[in-house]
This record gives sequence, C-alpha cells and structure tokens, in this order.
Amino acid sequence: MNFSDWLKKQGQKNMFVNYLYNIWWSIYSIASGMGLTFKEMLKPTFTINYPFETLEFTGFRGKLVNYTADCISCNKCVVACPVDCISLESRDREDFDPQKHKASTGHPLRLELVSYDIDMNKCMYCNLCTEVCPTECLVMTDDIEYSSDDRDDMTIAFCEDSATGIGRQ
Amino acid sequence: KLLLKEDLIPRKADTLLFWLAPMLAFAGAFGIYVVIPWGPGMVPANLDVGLVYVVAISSLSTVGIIMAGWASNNKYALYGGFRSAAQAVSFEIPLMVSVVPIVMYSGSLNLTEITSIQAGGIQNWTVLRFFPFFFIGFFAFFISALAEVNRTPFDMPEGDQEIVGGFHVEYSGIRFGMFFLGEYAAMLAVGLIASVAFLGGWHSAWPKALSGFNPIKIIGHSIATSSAMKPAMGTSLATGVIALGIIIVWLGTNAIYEWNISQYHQSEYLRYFNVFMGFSIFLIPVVFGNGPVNLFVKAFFFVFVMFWLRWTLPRVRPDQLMFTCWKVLVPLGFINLAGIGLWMACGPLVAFLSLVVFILILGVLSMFPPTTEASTSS
Repeated sequence: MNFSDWLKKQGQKNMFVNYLYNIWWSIYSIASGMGLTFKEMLKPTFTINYPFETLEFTGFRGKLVNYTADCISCNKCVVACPVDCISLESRDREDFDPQKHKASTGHPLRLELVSYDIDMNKCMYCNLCTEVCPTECLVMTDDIEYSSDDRDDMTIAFCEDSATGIGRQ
Repeated sequence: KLLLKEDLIPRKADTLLFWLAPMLAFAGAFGIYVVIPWGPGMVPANLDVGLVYVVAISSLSTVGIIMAGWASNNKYALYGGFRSAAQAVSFEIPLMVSVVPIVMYSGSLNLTEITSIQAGGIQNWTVLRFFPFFFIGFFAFFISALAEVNRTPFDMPEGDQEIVGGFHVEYSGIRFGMFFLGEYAAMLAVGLIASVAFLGGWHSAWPKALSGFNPIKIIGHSIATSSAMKPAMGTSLATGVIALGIIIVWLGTNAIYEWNISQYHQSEYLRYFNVFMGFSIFLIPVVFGNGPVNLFVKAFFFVFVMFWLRWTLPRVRPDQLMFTCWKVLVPLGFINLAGIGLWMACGPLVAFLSLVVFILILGVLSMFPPTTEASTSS
C-alpha cells in the first residue's frame, strides 16, 4: 500500500485527513500529468508539412493514363465504364501493314486512334476500364494530386487531334 | 490579420461600453509593465506603491471583461463576464495574501527595493527564504495569478465548450485582437511579477561564478591572455566559452539523435540529454548574467509553464474553483503569513512549533465532526 492509498483510507475516517488527501492527490495527479505531457513534447513528430513534404504513395487508384501507342481502339474501356467518362474515336487505317502496325503485346493496330478523352471529374476510380484493357495500355498511376480550379483541365486528352485539342499525355 | 478583419458591433449592444471594454482589458495588462525593474536603474516608473499598483491595475482588465460581457447583450457573453467577476473577486484575496509576506520581508512596496534585497545569489531569492513558507507561498501566488489572468485550467470566462468563447463571443476584428493580446500580455506580466517578487528579479543565481578563483574564470582568462586581449575581457569571455561549449555539446547530441531516429531502438536518455543541453543555453543568463535578459528568461519560463498547463489540464468546475480558492489557497496564505511573521519576530523554531500545534489542533478538532442539522433538530 503506497502513501496515497493509505491517506485515502485514513481520509474516509477523518474529515481533516480527507482534506489533506484531496490536496495531496491534486498535486500528485497534476505533477504526473505534466510529466506525461513533457515526455510527449520531447517525442519526435509524426505529422508532415504537407504541401512541402509528401509521403510516398504506392498502390493507389490515381490518375488514369493511356499509352496511346499500344491502344488498339477496342472500345472495351468505354463499354466497361459505369459513368461514361471515357470517349473514344477511331478510323480505319488505310495503309495497314501487319508487320509495321503492331502493339508491343503483338495485337494488330487495325484502327487508328483519333481521340481518347477521359473526364476525370466523372471518374469514380473503379478500375473496371483497366481490367478489361487487352493490351494493358490504360493504367492507373499513383498520381493523386492533380486538382485544378478549372473544370476543363480535368478532361485529359491523350491524342493530339482529340476533341479538346490539348493533347497531353 | 485581425487588424484587417471586419469589426462588427451588434445592433442592440451598448455601443460605448462595447467600444471601451477591449481597451480596458488591454490597458490593464500593459499597465503592469510600467513598474517592472528591468535591470540596474532600468525602471520606467519607480513607484513607491509598486506592488499595490500592480494588483490594482491588473483588476482593470477584469472590469474590461465584465464590461464586455454586459455590453455584448448576449447571454453567453454575460455568463462569461459574471464568471470572470466571481473568479477575480475570489482569487484577488489569495493573490494579495501570498504577496503580503514579501512586503513584510522587504519592508517596502517598491518593486526595486523588493528586487534589491534579493541580490547576491540564489540563496537570497525570496522563494528560498523562510523555507518552506515562501516556497509554498510562491505556488499559491502562481495558482491565483493563473486564475486572475483566466488561463487554463481556470479559463471559465472563455469556456469554449460550454459558453462559446464567453465574454468575447460578439467581438471580432481588432477588438477581439485586443482581448487576445491583453491576455498574452497579462501572462507575461504574471511571469515578470513572479520573477521580481520571488525569483530575484534581474539578479543572477550565481554572481560570484565569474569572480575569484574558479575553473570557468581561469579558462576564460587564459583564452583572453593567450589571444593577446586584455585580461579584463576574461569574465565576459568566460560566459562565451560556457555558451559555446554547451552549444557544441548540444549540436553533437543533436547529430547523434538524428542518427538515432533512423535506428529501430531509440535511446530515450539521449533525447532527454539533448533537450537538457538545448534548454541550458537559456540557463546561462539566469545563472551568470545580471540584467533584462535574465528577467526575460525567467518570465518566459513562467509563460512556458502556462502553455504546459494548458496542454495538460482540463477546465475545472466552478465548485472546484471555489474550493481551491477559499478552502485551500486562502488558509494556506494566512498560515504562510502567520508563519513568516512569527519567524521574523521570534525565529524559525517558534514558527514551526506553532505550525505543528495548529495542525494538531485541527486534527484533534476533526475527530469530533460537527453534528448535522437533522440530528440537532430531532
């Protein structure tokens, strides 16, 4: 039995001892609490100064990227998308040569991609489009920081002569 | 930032009082700085009633808070104002009672006089005189001063969770800024008054460190002579040598600590040592230097303790507040007063004996608890 317990037990019998116990207990608890906060103050911080420091993100469903050189314009991603945020346009390739026009996976590029736009405002990051892609040219990157104050900036065009005409990749 | 914000006055507010209140709260806090002795001969106003002036002028900010509560025409603001009034009226008494022994000891209300009797080292500081009476009185002073400036755990007038902001709920812009600034100025003022009254003011803890025969001075002196400087540079250089040594050790431990973070098992003691070395840079002016920097470091230590309390303690209930004031601090203050008085008149033995006798009487009386009303009436 330590001092506090002994004093508490005596305090149940005697008013004055109880008063002393209250004072002792308040001093003791404040001292132990302040010791705890002082220890916490010395601990290293776990937060980061966000816009200036970032953590390494891996395995996120982030911004969609289409590597158009491999895209065979199969339209599967457009069909798979539940919110219709992908729009695709293609035309027949007139000078089709099976040896020359070939994706890196071996698929023939019979159709020429005219425009491939993704509206990231609508995208719900469900990953269905990338699962159906036969050549795996449509992938989700770890990039999650691409907000903008202009809504048109969120429509990403992957072909140079696509509808928005921005043509960045 | 607050200067540029919109300054609103509620339509049904008492405009004159609403306008006057933040100024009073601000002035009450800043008025204290006038009588602080910052260093030898550095007193803005050497008032003979310094201590009374301090207590009087610090009550002005309470008047400002009550005024703000009334003028806002808002029930939460009024609650805050009344809470502040109750708190100030209660805690003014233990504050005064814990300060009166200092006036008895120094024989003056002048803060310069109170500082000057504490010259000559840490053993002359008031906290350590008449041990343990002034030591306990110092804590009583600090607690009641904490309640006077409405800081946690006694920040009931503000009470963010119960009465949304309390007295300053209707204030915005620079008027709120003045309350805010006034509160922080009052915190620093409490630190200054506590240092002046109890911790030796601007006097250093070990003034003889740099005079006479001791290793620190010899190191400083040898450097001074070897670099063909005047030997008189020795004392000031010695302080520099100590500071430089501490900073080097601190940076060294910092480097080890940074390396240590990357390890799986971190050494706690290294971290504590590092922080101790970091803090001991601030100890240099307190231990070796006389003057304003010394006083500032002491005062900011108290401000740090107030922040520290704010991290630690939740707000007290009103009944706990009143218990602390009337049943603990006021009796403690009067016991202090009687103890120091007896010590000064008849010596320490009488003081301690009377203290023991007093506690024994209370103990014996408490064995016969008062009969309750129910038993007497039947």
